[in-house]
Amino acid sequence: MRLLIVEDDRLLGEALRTGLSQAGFQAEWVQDGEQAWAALRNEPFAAAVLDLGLPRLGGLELLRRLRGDGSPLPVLVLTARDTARDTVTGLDAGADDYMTKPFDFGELAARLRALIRRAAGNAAPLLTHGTLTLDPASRAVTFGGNSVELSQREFTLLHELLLNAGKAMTRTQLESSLYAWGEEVESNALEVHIHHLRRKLAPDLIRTLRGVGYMIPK
Amino acid sequence: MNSIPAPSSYSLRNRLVAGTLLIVAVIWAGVSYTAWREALNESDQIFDAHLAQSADIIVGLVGNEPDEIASHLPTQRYQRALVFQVWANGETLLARSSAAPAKRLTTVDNGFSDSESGDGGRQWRVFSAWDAEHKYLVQVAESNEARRAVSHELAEHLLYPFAVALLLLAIALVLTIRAGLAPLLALAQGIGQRSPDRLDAIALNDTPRELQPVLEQLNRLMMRVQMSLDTERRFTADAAHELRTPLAAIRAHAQIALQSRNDSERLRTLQLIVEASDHATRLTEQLLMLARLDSETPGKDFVDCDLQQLTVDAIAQTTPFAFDRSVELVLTEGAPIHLCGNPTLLTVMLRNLIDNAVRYSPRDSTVIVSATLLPDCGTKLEVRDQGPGIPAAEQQNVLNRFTRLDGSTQSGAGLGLSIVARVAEIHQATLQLETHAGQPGLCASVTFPASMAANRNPTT
Repeated sequence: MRLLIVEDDRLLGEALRTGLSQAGFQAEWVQDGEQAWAALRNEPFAAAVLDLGLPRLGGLELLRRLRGDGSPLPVLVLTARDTARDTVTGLDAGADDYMTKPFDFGELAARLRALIRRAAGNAAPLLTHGTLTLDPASRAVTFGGNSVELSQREFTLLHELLLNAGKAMTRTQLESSLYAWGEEVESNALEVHIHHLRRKLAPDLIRTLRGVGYMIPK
Repeated sequence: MNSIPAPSSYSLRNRLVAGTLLIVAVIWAGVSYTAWREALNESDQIFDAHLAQSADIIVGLVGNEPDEIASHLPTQRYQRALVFQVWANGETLLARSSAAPAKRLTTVDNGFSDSESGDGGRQWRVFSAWDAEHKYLVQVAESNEARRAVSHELAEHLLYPFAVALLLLAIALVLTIRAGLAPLLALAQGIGQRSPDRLDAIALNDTPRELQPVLEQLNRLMMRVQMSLDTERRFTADAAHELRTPLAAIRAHAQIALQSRNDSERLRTLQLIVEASDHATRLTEQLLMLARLDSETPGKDFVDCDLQQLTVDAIAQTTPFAFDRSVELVLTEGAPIHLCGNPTLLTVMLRNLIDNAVRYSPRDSTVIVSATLLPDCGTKLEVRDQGPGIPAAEQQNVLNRFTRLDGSTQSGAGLGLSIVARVAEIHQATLQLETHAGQPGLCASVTFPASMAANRNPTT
């Protein structure tokens, strides 16, 4: 799951990128509002973590612009401003959740997972498909009652497909959820991960849509 | 809320009451005295008229028995003290009233006179009259004592309501003045009951006109207090906000380090924790410095100091930081420059200026520091770097607390220049930021007026 972190403080931005990557997200980090706006317009993200006091384009302004543009992107505002009025302003400007600094990584990751789950139209924390269950919080996968060991990329790929079950996912969409900016994408890596998933789970779980991508049928 | 009035304070109400009462009492006394005199005088005349009238009647009744004569005298409330004598040819006493002395009342035989009769030293007011044939002399008299008693009684009757009226007037005055001053008390109470947070203006529309100048000044003062409170609150909020970010970074990196299974990653994270702590420390120091500067009074702890020497010290302190960033610090040497100022604060200012310049300088560049004496005996301190400079439009803005330039990649809370500006203000100096077109870098200059120059060797 790709996340966009918008934080102008160098040290905190770096911490967010590392910590959220540890929690299993594909985290990208930009330091100002204009960069964030450019990134959000051009690339798919599952959610964004937004600081409000940003240079060039303020966080609230970015949020309004984003919502004005019709984007349903789940946005968690992470800020040092903690009065009720600040929270209300943030939520009213289009934020989905609000956390104040300093924060706990476990909580931040859990809130982000919940936001992404909700945005995908899913209320239950566990993603299930037949006998397959995926727990985004503990990153555990069971199939037919047995736990299955998946690599980080395989897990992310399965998570992305299950979140969008019934929808065709293009190669580009899947690849961008797997690789961070600047990471080399091997030409057949996606096929290799799909192959491993089919082998570890069930051969017919993931359908290939020729020339388009893959999907898990509902 | 009761307060003990200061020893030198006075009550407006008491002053008004006492003053008005005093004036009224003096006038009252004057009026009463005049009335008293008038009453005595008037009663004398009335009594005299009565005497003359009685004499006329007696003249007509001469020959009758004294008792009969007495019964014919006009009955008046005060008649009892009236006596008479009837003399034939002025020599033989024909008749007299029982209370009248046997001796002639007076030798004066016509009109009013005062006399002293022999017996008991009683004094009389006498009216003497002859009958038409000038045969009988009639003398009617009244004892002065009785007269005085009566006229005093009269005057007292007159003065009594005066005294009561004065008392009533005093009460009415006290009440009126109290009522008149009630808005003042109500106002004082209203102000006293305000909480320190309530600094909104006092409404002027239902207050007496005399109080309005005071209230207007008070409102103006409260507005100023409100503004400085607002600034303070905003500053505190901003300070808390700014401190939270490095704290969040420290906590986040610590959590990452705890979860990391990779030694090199953990090491890197720990280094970032140290860096974030340094950032928080620097920020705290700057906040404390600003808080201290805000309460600093210009002129306090000012001594004669050598700006040149202070600059050397500040450069020495900043050199390690500049060295880390491969920035060279150059001081344009010159003669000592004596300034009247607070050396500690001036050093803080110099360090902040140099620190800023180094922070925004590219690697392998130079920061030039110079202190020069101006022709008008002022002093100019300059710090010039080769960094990106500050666009003219932003130059005023960066002096505000917590303001950092957009796209600034340096860590910092935007307090450095605020500190410099405040120290300059304390020294009556002006801070100027200049970026020359076509020339890289920012030139920050602080100009001290000639009045701040310490005259160690006064020119003769």
